[in-house]
Amino acid sequence: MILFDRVSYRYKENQETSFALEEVSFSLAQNQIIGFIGSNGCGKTTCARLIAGLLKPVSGKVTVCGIDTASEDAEIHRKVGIIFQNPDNQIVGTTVEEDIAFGLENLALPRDEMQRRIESVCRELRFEKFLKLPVSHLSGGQKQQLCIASILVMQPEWLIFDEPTSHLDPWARREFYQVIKHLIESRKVGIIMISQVPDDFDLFEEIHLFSKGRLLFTGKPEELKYREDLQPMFSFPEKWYLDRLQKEKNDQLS
Amino acid sequence: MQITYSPADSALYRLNPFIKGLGTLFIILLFSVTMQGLFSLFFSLVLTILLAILFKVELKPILISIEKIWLLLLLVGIIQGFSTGNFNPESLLIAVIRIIGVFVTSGIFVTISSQSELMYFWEQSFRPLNLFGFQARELALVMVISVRFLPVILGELDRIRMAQMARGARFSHGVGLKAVKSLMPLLIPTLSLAIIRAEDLALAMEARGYCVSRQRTRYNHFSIGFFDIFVCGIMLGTILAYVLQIRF
Repeated sequence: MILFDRVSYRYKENQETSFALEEVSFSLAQNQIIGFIGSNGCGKTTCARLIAGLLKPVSGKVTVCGIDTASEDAEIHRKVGIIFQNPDNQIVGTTVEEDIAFGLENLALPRDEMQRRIESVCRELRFEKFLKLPVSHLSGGQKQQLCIASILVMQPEWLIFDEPTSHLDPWARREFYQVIKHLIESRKVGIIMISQVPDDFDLFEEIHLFSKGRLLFTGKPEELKYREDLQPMFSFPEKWYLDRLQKEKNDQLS
Repeated sequence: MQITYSPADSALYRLNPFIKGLGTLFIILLFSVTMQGLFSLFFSLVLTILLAILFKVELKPILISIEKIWLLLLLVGIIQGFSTGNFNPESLLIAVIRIIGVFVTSGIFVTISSQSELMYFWEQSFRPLNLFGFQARELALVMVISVRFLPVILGELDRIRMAQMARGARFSHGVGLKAVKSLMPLLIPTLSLAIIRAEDLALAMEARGYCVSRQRTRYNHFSIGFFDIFVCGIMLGTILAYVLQIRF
């Protein structure tokens, strides 16, 4: 369970009154795919970084699985794994195996346990054949899978994806969706996905819509689709308009 | 084609990373410091390349990359060629072979060493600094990550160069200060991008539980084998032979 209790955050370089996140409160339950959506600079990434313990709130409290993220508890990095937008900026190792092992070395695990976890995750993601390869030989989609594997070996309870599909081609995007669906079924983790790509919205079981550092909507995608009052804050996918028109037509007919 | 780690299975690859690094340093010194003649230097270069082929090292990217240092080769060659007053082609060739030798040897070291091996080498090299309170492993990690990101930054530099050229920028005009000035539109965005990348990487490392002061374990363990001792023996023998040759 993730709890946000009146959380505010302001970046140091911004003015004192300019909040990236202002008085935001919500709770997230595990075993579902949650979408954080909103326009650029609305606070979604700040929110994700607060959950991962990479930022400390200016006021309020963020609790993940009972741990206050403001406390310097290293356990938070084990409980929450975050995968950033650009895989190239988060791969540390020169080979796939070394990169996956990096997080496990940080957890100070013995070698046998590291090997067991690496083999198990690579088998799960069908990534075994890449294990000895240099990272530079991987495609964009494979690099992203490597980032997922590097986080999964740490056995997190929550996985955060920051705009994961924005740089993927449609085929790699489809593969990514399959991986996500598999994870939610097999690992019982909670998945938070920050996205502005309409294709991703079909995956979400719960949506959090942000605008100018405030949380505007929390609920099912079906509910958001029919909230016309929120349209000026966020451009809805075209498919949603069509769905709404179709529903109106059906209502008239019935 | 960039020089990067390219895995293969041979005795050279299986060497202890510290011995690999020491051997590289030894061959670099052999090319750069020792007073060898043209024939001896040429023989050393050919031998290095032949040994690399024998031990399954992918040489193509290294040899192709020599083209990138042609200006350095030319400049140093000309300066050395005229070092005695009159132009001496032998001095020019000696200087060129020395640089190519150092370049090829360094390239081979990068090609046969994975990140954990490089890190192990630097860590062992920096170990004496522990006495002065430096953390050898952290320093080694910084070095290795810098090497890992070098091709990425070079790629970035190339993209910025093309973007600037598409807007009419020219980088190869003028001399001295003017030439440096013309490179500014290229260097400043590259530097700022490198800083952004470094920040992103630091964040990603922190998210994966990395903390400077925290105890870490090691995934790869390296031991000293028969071939390591054999290589050390060859190095010692060569040093001894060289010293004896100078003295008598």
